[in-house]
Amino acid sequence: MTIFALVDCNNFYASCERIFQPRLINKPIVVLSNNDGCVIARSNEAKILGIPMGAPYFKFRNDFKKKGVIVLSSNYALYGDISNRVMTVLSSFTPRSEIYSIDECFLDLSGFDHLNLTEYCKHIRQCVLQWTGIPVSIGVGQTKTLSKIANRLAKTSKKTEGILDLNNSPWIDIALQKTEVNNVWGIGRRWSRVLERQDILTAYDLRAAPERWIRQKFGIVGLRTVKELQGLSCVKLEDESPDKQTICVSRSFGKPLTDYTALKSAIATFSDRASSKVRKHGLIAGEINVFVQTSPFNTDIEQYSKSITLSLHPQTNSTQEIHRAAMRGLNQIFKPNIHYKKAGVILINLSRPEKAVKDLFYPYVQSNDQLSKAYDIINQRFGSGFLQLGQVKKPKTWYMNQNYKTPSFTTRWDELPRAK
Amino acid sequence: MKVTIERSALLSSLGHVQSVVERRNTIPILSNVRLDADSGGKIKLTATDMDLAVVDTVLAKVEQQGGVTAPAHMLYDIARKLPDGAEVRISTKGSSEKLTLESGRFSMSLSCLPIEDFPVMADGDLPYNFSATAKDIKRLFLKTRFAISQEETRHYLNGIYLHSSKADKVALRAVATDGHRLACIDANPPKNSEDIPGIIVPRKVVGEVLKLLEETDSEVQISLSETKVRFSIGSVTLTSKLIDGSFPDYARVIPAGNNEVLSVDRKALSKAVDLVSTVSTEKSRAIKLGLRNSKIIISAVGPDAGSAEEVVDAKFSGDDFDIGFNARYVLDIADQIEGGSIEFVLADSASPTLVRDPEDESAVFVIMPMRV
Repeated sequence: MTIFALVDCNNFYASCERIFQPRLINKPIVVLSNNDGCVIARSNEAKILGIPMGAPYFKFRNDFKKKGVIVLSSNYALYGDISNRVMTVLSSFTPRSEIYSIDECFLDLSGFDHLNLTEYCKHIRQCVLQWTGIPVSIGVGQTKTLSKIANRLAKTSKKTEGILDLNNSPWIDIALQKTEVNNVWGIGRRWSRVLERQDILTAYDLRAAPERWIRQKFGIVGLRTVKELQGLSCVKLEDESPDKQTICVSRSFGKPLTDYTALKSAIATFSDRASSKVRKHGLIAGEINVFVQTSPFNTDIEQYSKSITLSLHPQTNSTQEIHRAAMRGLNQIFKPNIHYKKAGVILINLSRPEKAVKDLFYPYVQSNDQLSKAYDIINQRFGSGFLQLGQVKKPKTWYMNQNYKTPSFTTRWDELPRAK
Repeated sequence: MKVTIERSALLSSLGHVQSVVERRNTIPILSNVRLDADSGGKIKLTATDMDLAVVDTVLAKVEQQGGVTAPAHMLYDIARKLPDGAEVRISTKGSSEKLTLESGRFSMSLSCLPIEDFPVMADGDLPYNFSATAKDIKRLFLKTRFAISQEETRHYLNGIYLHSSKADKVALRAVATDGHRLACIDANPPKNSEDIPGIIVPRKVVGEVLKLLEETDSEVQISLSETKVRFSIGSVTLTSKLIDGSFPDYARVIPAGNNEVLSVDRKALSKAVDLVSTVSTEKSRAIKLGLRNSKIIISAVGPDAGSAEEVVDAKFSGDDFDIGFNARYVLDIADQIEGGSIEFVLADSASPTLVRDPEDESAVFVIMPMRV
């Protein structure tokens, strides 16, 4: 019998910000998306104030001020690093785990049923909090879908104290009845509308839904969800994360760019970052896509959106080669007198150098050339962005707005927290 | 316009031109076929996608000259469904906005678009002219077509490179490659073909020409310039733009120094590769050939499905080694070989391998190995 636990960090971004800034504890916090666009994370206190997810900052600015909400720009360096710490701690509690997202992790607890799982999860929760400063909720079930439901209830019900074990539990029917069908893992808005029309309103109803009808309407994926609700594990733990298919680096600009040199500088930075990332994953790229676009919300300007895909021959992860191709792409899609609001570089057709299918005309791949290696070592030693391509002009006029960003407490020497 | 035409003649003629018309078009008129009836008792049917135009001429009883454009696929479907031997009357009235088609007790009306809007593809000057047998052109195209690249980013590989080769002996040569495999086929040089410039014939044109050649064994007139090509096959003329770009120097990737020869029965190899590769579910469909003195051990490993192996008798001149290929590439090449056996000329497990038909020197294939 399978047993899964889903560990989910509570209000992860807000919790990360609170580790090094205790003054934020018990205060309403919202974290904004890139370019300080809209709300992407809220603390419990902010949720109680009724601040909706996705609220555009420019519309809610005054409201936030009135309510005393603390506004923060997203600090992905911090969140990524804290996430790594949490995942490392979690992996010590079971031989098999799957990092599901930046703040969620499935643990395979099959074979742990001789233990009191609630007590074991309490221990995990305590260790994560003590060692990383992040509070987590844990849901346990016989399938991934059930563990998701358990986790959701663990988070929302005070009685559970952050832990809910639905494995062989007499409460399972009640738990499913309390879960609206649109909150079941894998059931999106469109599917839940169809289900609701058939009076399938909760996970409990869905578990008893006619399987043939489910298969007809939602295919094998829908049927898997029903089976998972019945306690039959259909979705395996993916403890070996598959190689990335694409690597994208894109940004919305703080102010629209019209100048070719500034756009070139932005694309150079993105291609530089993308090549470092592809090397970090031990991959090489076969193609590059470069795109530029105006803001679809600003209807007063000429709208323009264009992208181009170019082959990389040989397949490469060299900063220089990727940058060269990105510039070639930009030259082909750049149109003057346009107010560019967003641009990006996507590396596609990624493969491991040893597995790459070689080309007759380029019977080799370019992986970790000496220059790129040196480049990475220097940047690792002196900080990301210490060494940059010549085309990156400073100051970066295209930088996105990050007016409320906290320091990168754990990843930059010059931003380490200080004890007074 | 008022014409009467036999259903089979109309169907055959529409069959020649309608496949050029894409199912969905950006410009509505590109969905139409143009019909021009002249005083000489002929109807000219034209279809185009702006890069390629096909014109067919068919005999008909022309009562009134004129022209019209009508939806190509619908007209073709109607002609197909009419009974064999039926006579079809096509007419337009006044401004040609409607075409009426009648046959027996059947009649229909089709909306038309103005003939003036139908794009005309200028032939331009086509200074190079030669004629080749249908058999040769069919062979050149059929045996290379499988290797045409689908990759849009290297557009110059999206066709067959047709040129006059003077390497070992003068030949009319067709080459296609997608960077992982290459097909190079020679035909005896037709008169006046020796000085033609190398042209890249687009994939769609190759398909259309092959379709037209299915029905004939007659001569094919080929006229070309550096930007256009025209194939005249019986009553049909196909004119197309060529792919603008330079084809890579393919000769440098045809291995000349490979020494070790593997000789195997073609059908036995195909069967075994097809069978074993069933377990190789990844996109690359990798198979391993374990080359031994008197046999090949063909094996594949699937990430979930397990593994498979089959042994095929063979003769191998070198020391034992293993080499990996994409199963699809091996099967595609084996399909092009007509003789009973197939020869692989190898260097090592990482270098391009030459594949050939021991009975046919005019066909050479190259395949890039993969790591398995």
